[in-house]
Amino acid sequence: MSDQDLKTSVKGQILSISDLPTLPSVLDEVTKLVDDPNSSTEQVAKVISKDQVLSAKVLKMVNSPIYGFPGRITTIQHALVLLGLNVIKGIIISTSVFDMIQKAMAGLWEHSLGCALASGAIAKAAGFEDPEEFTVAGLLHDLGKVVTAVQLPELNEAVIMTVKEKDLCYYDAEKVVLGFGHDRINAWLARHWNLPPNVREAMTFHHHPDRAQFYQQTAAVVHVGDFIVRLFEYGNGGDDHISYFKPAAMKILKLKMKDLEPVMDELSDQFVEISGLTF
Amino acid sequence: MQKIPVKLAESGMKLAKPVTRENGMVVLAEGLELTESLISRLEGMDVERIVVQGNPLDLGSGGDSSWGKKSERLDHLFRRYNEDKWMFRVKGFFREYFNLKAAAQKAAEDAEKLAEEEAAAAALEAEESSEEA
Repeated sequence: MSDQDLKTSVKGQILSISDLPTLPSVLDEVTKLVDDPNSSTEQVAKVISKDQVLSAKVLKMVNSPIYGFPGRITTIQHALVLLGLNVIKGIIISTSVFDMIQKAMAGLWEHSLGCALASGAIAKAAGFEDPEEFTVAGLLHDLGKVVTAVQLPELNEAVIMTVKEKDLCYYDAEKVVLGFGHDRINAWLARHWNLPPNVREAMTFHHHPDRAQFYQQTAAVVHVGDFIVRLFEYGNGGDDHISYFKPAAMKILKLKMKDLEPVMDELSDQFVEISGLTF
Repeated sequence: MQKIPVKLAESGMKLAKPVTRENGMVVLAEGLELTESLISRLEGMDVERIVVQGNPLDLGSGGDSSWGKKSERLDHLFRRYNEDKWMFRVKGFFREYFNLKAAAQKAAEDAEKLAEEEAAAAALEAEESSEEA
């Protein structure tokens, strides 16, 4: 098989998979309710609360330092009102997908939690409203890597080997082995799970925030978040390289390098605090 | 500060963060010095990890917050971009930040050590003078 054929076949394999990691059935019900203009938050909260394990995970996440609410959130209803459905949905997807492979990819989970924390802090520094929306985008930014590991374990092994043998970053190794990176897989997953466009664009363009169409700010926040979490070497994104720091990202955020200093001051303590957090 | 498993805790370490229960209630306050009995109490409460001052244990990456080490790692992390002028500048910016932080961290640690030594000396002096009297 030629290189080109291999790439096309890999692409087909990933993109045609219909039995994607099974998400909790609750998520389908929730999506249906949200599409119905007559439904209420109360109804959505009731559906999520039926799944006790899931509810406990969601509450643990919203009460963790990652979201940093001062009080204690004790009900799903309260969490929904405070954070909105998009954030709760993102939390359900990330914890469920990582559940399948949590032990094997503990480093990537920490990297994702760290990026979530960093994205929230950067969004606040840039003066954006609803930093939780940015936090959840950070949480989901590498989901494509997890899904590849679950669906195509052999190719994932090949990516890991390429990282080691050629001293490449994971993103470049993916391009060598698969013909495209996790950003492409992210785009497809975000559509499949019907994620809101800001989260979808951040997942798709976190390596190239200037290419995002409508939500460059979200993509740029996650771009810088990913960079900082790699700089602090918190968790493991699949390699020990720094990601390229695009000057365009800071322009989009209207931030100077100096503005990152208080953000890092705050994050260095918080990284220690969240280490070892499981859901 | 460093997050460590309670199993590896030793008496004399000081808490850098309070220990709290699931519901947010503080059980042990920040700054408290650990004793054997406190450690066994923590184990009894099913607390798995605590955050202590300094970096007493070599746990590899992750829980460590030493700024000096971060500065040392920069050349390794940026090794793919040695030819890139912009990334070289980026690296320089963060190196300066990490080095400043490392210096401040060291100064704080030295000050604390000095304060402890002075307190110990003062206690000894007080003891001696009471013996004399």
